[in-house]
Amino acid sequence: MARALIVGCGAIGRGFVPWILRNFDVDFFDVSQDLVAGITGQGGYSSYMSDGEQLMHMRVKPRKVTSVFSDLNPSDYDIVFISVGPRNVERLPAEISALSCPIYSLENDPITVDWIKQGYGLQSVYFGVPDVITSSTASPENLAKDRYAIHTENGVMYLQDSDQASTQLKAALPEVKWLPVERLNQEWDAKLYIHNTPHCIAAYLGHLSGCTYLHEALAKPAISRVIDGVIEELLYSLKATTAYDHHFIESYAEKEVRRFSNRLLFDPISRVAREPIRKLHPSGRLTGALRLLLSSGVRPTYLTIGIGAALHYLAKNDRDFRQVALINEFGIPAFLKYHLSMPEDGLESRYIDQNFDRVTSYLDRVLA
Amino acid sequence: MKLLSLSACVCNLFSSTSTGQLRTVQKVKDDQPRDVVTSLDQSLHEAAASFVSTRMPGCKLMSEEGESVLGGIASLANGEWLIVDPLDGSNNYALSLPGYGFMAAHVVEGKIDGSVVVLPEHDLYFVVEAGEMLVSQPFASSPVASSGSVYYAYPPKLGDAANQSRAQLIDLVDRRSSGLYRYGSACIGLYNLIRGRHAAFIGHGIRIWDALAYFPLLERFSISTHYHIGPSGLVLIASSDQAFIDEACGIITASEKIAFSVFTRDANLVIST
Repeated sequence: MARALIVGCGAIGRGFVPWILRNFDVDFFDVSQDLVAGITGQGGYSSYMSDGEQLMHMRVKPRKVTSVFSDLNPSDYDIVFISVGPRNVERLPAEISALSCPIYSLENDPITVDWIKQGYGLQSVYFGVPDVITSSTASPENLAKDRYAIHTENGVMYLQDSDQASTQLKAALPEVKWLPVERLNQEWDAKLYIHNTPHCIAAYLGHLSGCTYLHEALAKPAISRVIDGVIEELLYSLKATTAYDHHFIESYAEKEVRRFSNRLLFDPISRVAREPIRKLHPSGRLTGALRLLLSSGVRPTYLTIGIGAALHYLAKNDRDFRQVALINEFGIPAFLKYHLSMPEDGLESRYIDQNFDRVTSYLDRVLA
Repeated sequence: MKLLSLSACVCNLFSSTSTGQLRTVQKVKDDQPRDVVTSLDQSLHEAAASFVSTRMPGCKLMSEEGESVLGGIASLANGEWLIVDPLDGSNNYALSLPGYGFMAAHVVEGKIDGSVVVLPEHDLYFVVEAGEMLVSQPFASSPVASSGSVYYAYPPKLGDAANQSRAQLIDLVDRRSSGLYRYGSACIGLYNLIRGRHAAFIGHGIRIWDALAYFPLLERFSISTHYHIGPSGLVLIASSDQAFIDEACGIITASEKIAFSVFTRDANLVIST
């Protein structure tokens, strides 16, 4: 039987990836000793997959779960997935440099492939796009049965094709869509903008509305109106600036709101909204999307509301809480410059700064 | 959160003056053409003074642009202090040259409790507070480059003994590194030390606010920090190369008869009177 290693037992690593690895013996590595001990102690955990109407159950029984990388044999694997969060990629155990099989970064940012290659002296590192929404938790009733239970959507895993992915490996992964890097970039753009942008904006708006789960936020007309507006702005812009097939991006957009609204996912707002500074990165889903819209002549009315909501994300347990809490003392230009290297006189910074007070009033009025 | 809040105010002020309208030189100190005070020095000093008076009750301010403190450096052994260099590299700023930044060290009962360093040209701030270091953006120190140089900061007027050791230190720098750098900002010199561009930093009779804020940062980046604080200011030798430190400290000790201490975060600063 083929063997796989999943580095990172978060939402994607624990919730979605095992569904495509049903032909594999699977090991997990995670830095959380509590999680490792808990899953090991009960011999696995339950993952539930939703098609929007019902949940399928799978008991995941890992071969090994560890927080000590040296417990693993790096030459043992046919494939490795890394899903630890982009900020943690630089803090992986040094021993991963001994891995010799293809490694896929599922980190929502292609730059992480280079970071992993350079940081650990690895060559066979590729990008993967898990086009899926996976919760970091489960419904109260499933958590009552298994505290490590997790819900995921029935998504699609796109992996970058390469010579290192053997015929046998591909045969063992029948549900994976293998794409050349150019096509993967198209999927990435679609996911980054049409999926990730409205997804995190829904979370920021939901937080301001006092919601716990994303489907609760999407049930509010004021929020779904903004999300529809964001998607429409992005579609205009992508059609104007890329050669992507219009049918492809329109159909992708069409299914998005349906996915966010899935009542069976129990996707916590705290997961989707976490680390707003990272999500505001100029190459990313919020200010990257703003640049896309401004450069293509599309007025970013709804997107600006979303960016304003991100700058108001004050969740005490969030890693960026302390900085975001001081946004008025920084002022918008300095906040964007010092945390994201966005120049004060840049178009995006000025646009956000000029509209911030107006957006704040709108959010107070509509969501309070 | 106090020091992070101070850093937010400083970042805000730097950003609001990014067009350089505060480059005007307001005065020249001690008849030294390089010791200029710009409008930005004064604005940053006023911001720090206002912050201390409103947000840090009981804390006293020792600032390059403030009144001289009764008792001098020895006063730092008691009470709560914020030691501020509002704009290190003022002359660079006035001349539109690169290399300037803000530094503040928070000293409580003779121990460095936290610090703030703001580097506008690098879009970075470092804040050490409550035992934790916060950097505004991902930042990793680098090993010293094979062509690493040594930053050597010294004031225009040194005594005879210090002049003697300066000559030997320059010789040491030329022997042990790719050369001597001195570009008008200890703040940027120390930043370049933690990012591996410099192999060592020598501050020779500099003022306490020129480097104190970096002490906790140097320790966190595993750079050994040997210092002497006395009435004539601060002598600082910082490097990851212990042999270089030993030789530099040896030169200064022999000529100037001063003893060095090693900085550790839990120990009180050793202040010679």
